[in-house]
Order: sequence, then structure tokens, then C-alpha cells
Amino acid sequence: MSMTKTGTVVNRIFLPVAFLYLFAAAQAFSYDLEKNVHAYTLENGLRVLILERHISPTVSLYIRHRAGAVDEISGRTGTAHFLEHLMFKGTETIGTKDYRAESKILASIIEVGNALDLEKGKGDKADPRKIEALKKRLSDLQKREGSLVVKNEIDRLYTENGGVHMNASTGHDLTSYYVSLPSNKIELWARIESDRMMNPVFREFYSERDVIREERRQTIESVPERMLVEQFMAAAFIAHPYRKPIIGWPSDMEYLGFDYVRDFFKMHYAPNRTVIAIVGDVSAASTMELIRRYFGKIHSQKEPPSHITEEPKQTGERRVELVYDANPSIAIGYHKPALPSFDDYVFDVIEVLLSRGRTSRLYSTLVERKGLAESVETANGFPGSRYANLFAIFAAPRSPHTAQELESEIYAEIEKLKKEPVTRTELDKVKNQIRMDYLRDLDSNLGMAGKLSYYESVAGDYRYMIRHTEIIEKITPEDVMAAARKYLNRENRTVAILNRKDTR
Amino acid sequence: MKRTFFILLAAIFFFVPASSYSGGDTLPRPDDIRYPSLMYNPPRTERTVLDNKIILHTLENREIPLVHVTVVIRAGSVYEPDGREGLAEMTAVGLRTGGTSFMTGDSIDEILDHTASQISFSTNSESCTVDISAHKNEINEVIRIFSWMIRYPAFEEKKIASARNVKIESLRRIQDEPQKIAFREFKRLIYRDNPRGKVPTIESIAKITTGDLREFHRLHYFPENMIIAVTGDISGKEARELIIRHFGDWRASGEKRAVPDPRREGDGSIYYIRKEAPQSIILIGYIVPGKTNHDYYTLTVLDFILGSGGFASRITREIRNERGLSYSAGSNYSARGSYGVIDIYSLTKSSSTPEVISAMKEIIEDIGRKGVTSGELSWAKKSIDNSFIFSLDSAEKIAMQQLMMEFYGLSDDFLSTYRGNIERVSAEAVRKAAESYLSAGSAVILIVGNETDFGKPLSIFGKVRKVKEKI
Repeated sequence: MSMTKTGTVVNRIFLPVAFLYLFAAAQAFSYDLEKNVHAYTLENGLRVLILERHISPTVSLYIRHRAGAVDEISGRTGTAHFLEHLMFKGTETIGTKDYRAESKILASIIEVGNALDLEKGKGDKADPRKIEALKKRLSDLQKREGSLVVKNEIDRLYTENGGVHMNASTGHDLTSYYVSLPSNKIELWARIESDRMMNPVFREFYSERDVIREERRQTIESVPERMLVEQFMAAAFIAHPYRKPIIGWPSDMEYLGFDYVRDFFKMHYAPNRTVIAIVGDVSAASTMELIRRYFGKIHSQKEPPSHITEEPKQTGERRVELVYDANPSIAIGYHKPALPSFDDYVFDVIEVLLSRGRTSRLYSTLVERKGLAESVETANGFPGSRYANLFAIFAAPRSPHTAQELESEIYAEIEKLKKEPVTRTELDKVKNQIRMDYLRDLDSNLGMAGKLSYYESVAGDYRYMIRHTEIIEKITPEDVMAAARKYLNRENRTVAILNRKDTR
Repeated sequence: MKRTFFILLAAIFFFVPASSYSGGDTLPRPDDIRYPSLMYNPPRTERTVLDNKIILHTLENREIPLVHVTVVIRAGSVYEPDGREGLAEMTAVGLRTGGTSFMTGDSIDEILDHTASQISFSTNSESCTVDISAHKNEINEVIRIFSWMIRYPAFEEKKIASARNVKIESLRRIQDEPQKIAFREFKRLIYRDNPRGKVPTIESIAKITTGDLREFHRLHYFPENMIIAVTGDISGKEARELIIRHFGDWRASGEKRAVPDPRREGDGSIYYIRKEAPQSIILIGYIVPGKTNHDYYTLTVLDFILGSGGFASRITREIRNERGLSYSAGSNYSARGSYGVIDIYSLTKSSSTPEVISAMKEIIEDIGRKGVTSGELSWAKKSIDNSFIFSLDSAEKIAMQQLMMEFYGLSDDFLSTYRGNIERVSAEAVRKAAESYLSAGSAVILIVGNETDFGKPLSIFGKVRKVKEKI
């Protein structure tokens, strides 16, 4: 329904022009980035990337350990994430009034806690009197420890010195710690972070275990779409650890023990599995000098033996249903290889093509034109990129339409990808968007430190992000069609649907 | 040149390795580390008032070939007529997607997506904010299109119908998540009898017609109601020319209407919504003064110590760390011009709900009774002072601060006096502020959860009122 009144029409000629100069801009920036990132490897294997950016006297600091939920042994799901929480409890010299006295009590706490878990684990056969007695002893010990602890010191130190964005995150692939500071305070970061890579003390172990249980209630169990994704992943992967929830299964979380958390820390937080990225108003030379002083003496560790099961080839469609008191939604996933496989780049293109922006294929068809969906999005590289992963589609139908109706429309769009080559204009649009993403990423210290450290950890080289735009540039309509034909098939897909209780 | 200005300012400071640690076995005490001094005179925006009274702030930053434009329009939900809740948002979506006199909505989407340019509209109770981001070579076309959206909207019927349908579905889906229910009803309760408490319903959205959108647009989208910031890879001169080119000849006027401030007094009773969920949501809210009142600084410090200063703040420390009863527990002070809201929140498993409500109430009352320690006060002040730099750490944020000051009519020295005003807050002022603004009688308390699993009835905390949800 055109409302055109006057001759002011934007002609299409300017589109290819835009394409050309955007390409040039991205190229220029790629070059600059490689020239400006200072990369070092310490003798203990710690990898450090520094990018000077003198926009304001601030700096963002990222530490990523190549350790995540995939590295947990079975029966201990949630360990990587629990460890991330415990890392904020301090060290032997931060957060204590007298570590020697405290460490003795801590040892007793763990001993009693282990005994309590053992007894509780007996279920119906547990001795309630024994449990009560152990609980009482634990609580007494915790009170004694409490009098020696200076609580929340890491948080207090960062906050008081102007730290913002302070947080940490745990994924399937990586565990990350980050903060932004006024740039004169960088030594505080080196002091705290090097210390907690060497001498962390897992204080308040059992109350924090209750906190992560609350976290699961809040972020998974109260959010229908997160509940669906949990079922979806467990169905899509039958063997590879991407099948398990990062936060853990409830029955594992309630018994996470001190010894395994400690071992996990030692094995996986080694400097040779760690990348630091620093972006902001610093001098690379003096920052490196500081990092050598503080992080240089951390001992490297032998690479842990990999016990990660490879996902066997999928042999047919898998379907799973979640019945829940909520409006319906659907998740569809297809197995595919991880970066730096060429096919992974093609799926970066398919992701944008299908669901980025109002003119993307799934959005314009399902939300706008047919009015079947409230929302639709796609994700390439779900849930991680260290191992072969999924191309995933998530959508929510608009009442009275059903998830099943939405499903068949999504398949119609996928069939189109296989049969008709993408037009030049549409492919150019996608490439423009990916190039602009790259420019926008450069626009913040924290975002940039995050990207550099992410690709250095996961792809083994931060320059992945530079080459990414170059490889995307070369992708043809035939490449898109070939990847769609190879992976987006019924036998290779998992479908999870949330249906409301009362409609069954 | 602006660029040199920027770099010179930043270059005042260079990292000087501190002498506190040389790599031996004994690490320095973190509090003993000496830091080099930090100097920062953030660059200032240039302010221009166009002939038609559009206020414009510009700040150049040549680092990346992108231009950001932020536009704030006094067209929020407070101006919606009764029964048309959601009109402000629907108007914003209609402007963005409904096409213009010169180009259809579909063509606009094509151009924006093809050049990877972004124009996104969002609304809150007081304003509509438009965030625009484009490559510098595109910015002229993008601002041209944006000016058409604002000046010559077409509100194409099929786009409005689609927006209406999507909005109704998302309202329906609020019921799926207890947190979303809590925020919707909390807004209604804390701003009861005030236009800020307007919340869209399926019924009100269904009633909104394109005629309503046109009328809302006519009344609230006009030059004098608009503030613009342009930052990024564009000079001040180019930025002014850009805005004048597309908005300079715009002559329109609309309605200027003052909206009364929300009422201070709550009634201290417990509002309850039953929802089958593994966790309860507890929200305690107060209407307090805003940024134009001198107590703003005292309330900022109070809120920091109470629950927004991270793990070391009282609510988080006690409920999360000491008792392990919550993952999210804390407070939040959102200050507007003449008023603000302090809310204190916790999410906890059903069986610990009464314990957490008691703990929250005690912590709040305790500050009013006994005040804060000198250690807490100094920690809060240092934290606020040292992190202040992050509110001005990019050209975009510097410009955003200016927009905020213009919008609320704050004095020119608001930012330059901010740190000094925080520094002057006394422990006694914090105690008094807690006593007078956070008194039990003025609270609005909302609980979303399943009372049968609480172990104790909510009535132990006072009168319980069941909230009738409006979806």
C-alpha cells in the first residue's frame, strides 16, 4: 500500500555504492586492528592481548579461562558455574582477618559438609538425627568462620575504586571474569586477579550453593522459554556435554562437593588455558610489565586429558515436548560443524538472512506478512563454539496460531533456501550487516575486550574476527544453497515444543 | 580540531608502574596500593537551539566511521487518554514501521536493512527515545528518512494492524513469567491515581485506531518537544547542517501539558498476586524526590548502602550472602526530574518468603533508626565518586547526560557539582532520609507467589489486599 505523493523516491542505485565503501571501511579497520593489538605469551602460557584506546581514562579487562560446563564430569553438572561464584569469596590475603586460623575451620566445615551430603544422599534411608547433628555442627563452624571473614572484599575493593561492569559468566565453553576501571587503577585488578588464580579460598561454600539453587529457580524454572531450551539441548545432544544445562541439574547442584570444585579449578584455570584482553587508556609496554610481575609466577598445568564424548551423527528427527503453564513456543535445531569450518561462516550468513532486521525472511514472513508469530530468531553456533554445535531457530506463535503451524512455515522457508539461490541484492544486504557489526563491536572497550579474548580462546586466534569479514565476503549464493541442503534436513533436526497444560 | 582535543585530554594520564609490588612472595595489601592521579576533563558538547526551538547537542569523535543520533521527544505514556493505554508505544511503532508520505514502510525497511542502519524507537512513561546508528556516509539518507517518519507519517493500516497483534500477544505472554507480572502490577501500584501508572491492556490496545495515532502524533511530536544529540564521525558544523537540512523548516506546534507528580504516601499494606511458581517475588517501593531536589544526593548514597552497591550493600549482603536465600536481592533508585522511585527487591523460594520479607523490612527500618556506619558512608562516597567517570566515558554518553539535563531542566552545573554534592552527604542526613522517605507507612509492598507454600500467612505483616490483575 504505497502512499507515494511526490517524486521524492530514493532510487536503488545508491545501494551498491553503499556496499562498496562499507567494504573498504571494514578492510581499513581490519588492517588497523591487527596492527594495533599487542599480543604476548608469558612463559607459563598465559596469553595477553592489549589494545590501546585513548577515548577516556578508563580500561576494560577480561579474563577468559578455557573451562566451562563441557569440562565437568558426569554427576557434577553446575561445577564450572558454582566455581565462578566461589571465586568472588576472596583469597588467602583478601577477605580474611587471620587465614591460618580460618583455614583450619574451613577444613572442618568441608569435612562436616561432606558427611552431611553423604547422609542426605541416602534419601529415605538417611538418619534424621544424624542429619540434625551434622547441620548443627556445620552451623556452629560457619559462625566461627564468620567471625574471621571480611565479607565481599573483592566486590568492595573494585566498587570503592570505581569499578563498573564487574561480573563473571560461565558458558559451556568458557568462564569469564571482567571489570572496567578508571585506568589508573589497573594494578588493583592485577593484584586481585593474579591472586585468585593462585590462592582462591572457597568461603561460604554451602550458603553459596543455596544461592545458585535460587539462581536456577529464578532464571530457568520461572522462565518457560529457558525450560524449553533445557529440554531441547538434552534431546539434540545425546552424548556430547552440550546436552547439559550450564547451571546444572537440580539433583547434582544440591550435592556439589568441595574436592571436585577444587580439582576443577586447578586443572582448568591454569595460565596456559587463560586469555587476558585489555582495552582502554593504557600503555601496552607498562601494562605488560605489570602483568609479568603479577601473573608471571603462576604455574602452568599439563593439559587435562579430554574426556569429552563426540556427538554421534544424528540418525533421524528427534521431538520433545514440554508441558507447562505458559503460551506455546518452539525450538528447532540442526547439527553443524563449529568454527573455523567454512560451513560455519555460511551459517553466519544464513542467520542474518533469516532473522536479522525487519526485512529478514522469517521475520517478514511469519511476523509481518502472515501474522503467525510474535517473535522469531535464529542462532548460529548454539550453545557454544568449541565443539560441533547447532543452527537453532526459536519462535513464539501468536494466538490462536499454534507452534505446529509455525513449524511448517519455518520449514517452507528452509526449503526455499535449498531450492532458490539467494539474490545478489539480498546477499549484499547480509554482508553489509555483518560488516557493520564489526564496526559497532569496535565502539566500546568492554565489547572489544570481550571479542578479542573470546576468539583468542575459542578460535585460538583473535584474528579470526578480522578474517571473518574477508571470508564472508567470498560466500556465494551457491554456498548458501549447498549448506542448507547438507544440514537443514529432517533427519538432522531436533524439535522442542512447549504446549500449555490445558490445551492437551 | 576536535580530535586533538579529545586525545590531548586523555593523554594527560599515562600509566606509571606503581612501586608497591616487585614480584616477590608477599603481595601488597590491596588497600595499600598507590595509584597515579587521574585527570579527566571530558569534552563538552556544543549546544544549538534551532529557530523552531529544537535543542541540539553535538560532539565529534572520529575514531570509528559511525554516527549516532539520539532523539528524545516528550511523548510518553503519561499523555495517553484514559482507555487508550499503550497509545504512546503504538504511535512510536507506527512512526517507525508505518511508512511516510514519500515512501512505504516496506521500502524504508529495505533501505535501512540494506545499509545496516538502525532507527529504533522506544517509549517510557515520560518520553519517546529514538536511537539512530549509521555509517557516516549513510547518515544523511537515514536522517532524511527519520525526518519523514516524524514529519510525514503514513500510519499504513496493515502495519498498524500487525503492530497491534504483536503487542497483544506480548501482553498475553506477560502471564507466562512471574517477574513480568510483578513489574507490570508494581508500576500500577506505585503510581496509583497518577498517569505514570498507565499500563496497556489487551483491551486498550485492541481499541487503538490509526486515528488515535494521528492525534497523539499531532499533539506531541513537534519541534519544541524534541531534543537531539549527534555524536561520532561528524563535525559539529556538519551535524548542525544535517539536522537543519531535515528539520530546520519544520513548523508545528502541539500540546504542552504538565503532569502532576505521583503521590508520596503508600498505605503500608501488602498487595498479593497468587501465581504458581517455584519462587516468590517481593518488591517494596517508595516514591521519593528526584534530581531537582537537594535530597537527591542523600538518596543516592542511601540507596547505594541499602542495596545497589553490589555484594557489600546491606540487602544483598544479608539476604544473598549471609542467608543464601536469594540470587537477586538489592535496591534501585530511579530518579526522574521532580520525583523518583526507590524499590527494594528479592526473589526467593516459596518457603523462605516470610523470612525474606521480615529481613527486608528490618534492614530498611534499621537504617532509619540507627543510621549507617562511617565505614559504609565512606565506601559509598568513594565508589560513587570513582565510578563517576564512566557516566562520561564516550562521546555518546556525554551527549546523553546533556539530553537528560535538558529533559529534566537541571541546572548547567549539575554534573560539575555532582561529586561535591555526594561528598557533602552526612551520615545523619542518610539516616533522616531513610526515616522520612522509607517509612513503613509509605511503602507499597507487592508479593507475587503462592501463599499456600509460604508456611506462614501474609497477614502477619499487616493488611493483605489481593490484586486484581488486568491483562
